[in-house]
Amino acid sequence: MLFRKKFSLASFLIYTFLTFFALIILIPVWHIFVISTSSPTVYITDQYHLIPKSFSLAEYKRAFHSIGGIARALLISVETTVLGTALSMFLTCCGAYTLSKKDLPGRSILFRILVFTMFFSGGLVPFYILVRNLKLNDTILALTLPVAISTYNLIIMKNYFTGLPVSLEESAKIDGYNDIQILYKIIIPISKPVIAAISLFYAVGYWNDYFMATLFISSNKMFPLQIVLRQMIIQNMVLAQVGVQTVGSNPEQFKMACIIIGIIPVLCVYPFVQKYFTKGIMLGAVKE
Amino acid sequence: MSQKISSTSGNAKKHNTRSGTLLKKVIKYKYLYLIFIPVLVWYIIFCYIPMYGIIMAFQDYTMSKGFFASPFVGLKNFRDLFNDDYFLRAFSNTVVIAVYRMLTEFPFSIILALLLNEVRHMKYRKTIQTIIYLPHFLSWVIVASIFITIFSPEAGLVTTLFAAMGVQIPDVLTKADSFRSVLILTDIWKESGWMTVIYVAAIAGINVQLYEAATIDGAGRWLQMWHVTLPGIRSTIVIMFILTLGQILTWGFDQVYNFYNPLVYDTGDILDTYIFRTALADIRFSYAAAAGLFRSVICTALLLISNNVVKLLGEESIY
Repeated sequence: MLFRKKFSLASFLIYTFLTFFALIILIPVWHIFVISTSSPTVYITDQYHLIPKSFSLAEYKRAFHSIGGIARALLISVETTVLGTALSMFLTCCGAYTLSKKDLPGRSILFRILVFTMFFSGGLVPFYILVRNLKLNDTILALTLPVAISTYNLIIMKNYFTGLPVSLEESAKIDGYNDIQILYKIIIPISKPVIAAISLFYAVGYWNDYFMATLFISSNKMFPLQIVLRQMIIQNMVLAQVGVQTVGSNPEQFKMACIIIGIIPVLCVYPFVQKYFTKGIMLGAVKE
Repeated sequence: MSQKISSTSGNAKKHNTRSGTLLKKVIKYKYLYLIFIPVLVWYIIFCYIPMYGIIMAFQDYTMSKGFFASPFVGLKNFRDLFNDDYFLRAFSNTVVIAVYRMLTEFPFSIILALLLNEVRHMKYRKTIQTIIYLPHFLSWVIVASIFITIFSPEAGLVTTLFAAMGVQIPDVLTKADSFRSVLILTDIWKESGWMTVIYVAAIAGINVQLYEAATIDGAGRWLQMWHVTLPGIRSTIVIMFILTLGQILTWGFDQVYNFYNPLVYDTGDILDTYIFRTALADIRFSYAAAAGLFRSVICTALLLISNNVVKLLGEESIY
């Protein structure tokens, strides 16, 4: 009886702590959402409420109608994400599938060439000079190609492919498929969990990138969303300076709306891929 | 595997049949080699060619002269580096912040995972997990924007809340004293939930019979946590510890770069941000390359050492 009472107290503490932690994560985001959607009149009288008092999408409309600025930056971010993820998945699948063949001559040498880059890199300076010399500046390719492969993701995928039953491929070979056909007609369709998880990792990486853009984008017209957000909020530049023209809006609310615009795409994809996370990550932990 | 290949090719002259099978295998896999070519080319261009940065560190490189015409200066860049107070400051900041992180965030995520495991109400648990994994997928630009907004001294949510309670809090984001705490706390906010994924998965892999046996022996849930769960994820903890250790010098650029400002360089400037500024704001390419090489060498050494320590401890190593 005594034990029971103790246990329920412990339980209570655990639930309280976890709920508290989750609230700490949620409240700042929720606050920004509420303020960004409250009407200008409500905002002026009360800037800090957490319970929505009004709902207005005026700031969001402004963001999408602003000349240059947000709408164009959004488009660049979407293009980068789509193109980059496709490129990354293509290269990663090719590399991972080849390395998943245990009796491929030269496999371990090739694998070591890849793994070595996880240990040692030439550093920022030569990388910067290289990409500039390749004349990729101010193109979407500069944001995608130089960071197209993550060795870590490639190894996760390789481990997944290694674990697939060989019999599938053998029967495909009897049907007269070659290795490339087997890869995209059989292997990729049955590897949905890992493809989904890795695609998400890549896509989020491209969507969230500001670093490559800081290095290689100098034209206002090619700035992705993250750079524009950085300039507006972190560097606190005047909106017109960033190339955003918003007549009559409240700058604070407008910035908050832009933060939410940066979060929404991640929120939309996340629930669908969440169930694959654990599987994706655990595979990476399997030893070579 | 590599031994097998070399012995096969080494004996190729004596045993024609063996080299025959090797050749046959290569032909059998010709399509796989074909699709591997773009991957290999990518690695050569974007990972191996930049390694000439090692040589740049010993040069006085200028863009106009280029790599081949720039004069060699021996160890001058490195000598300058160790006489540069800002570099040394950045180095010690990096290590100090990393140690703080190891002491706070690392155990925090383990505790979080253990607590999650104690929750039996599955719907509640899924909800909490969904919420705490989420910030990992937001960029540091977004996270910094959120915190800058709510901590803003004029109109931030937190500042106003404290003001309403009669407490005047300083602008923590521009104070050198509080900057490291800001880094640690925001990193816990963003990443500690995600770090539990691997522990939760490891706990799920523990044999259920161990818990049954412990229950029969009369162990309550706390004892079970201590004697079954924790030992069960010990190797995962060790591996995560090693991984984190190997990243000490590379961790945190995105975070610091988006949070810091010249007012907090004293406590917040780390190696990567310092290298970034010397390279791109000051255009001192060779100097930055030397700093980068120094950092790379230490990182590699750390990874190799820690990996060997794990092996000595009898755990499965990573690489």
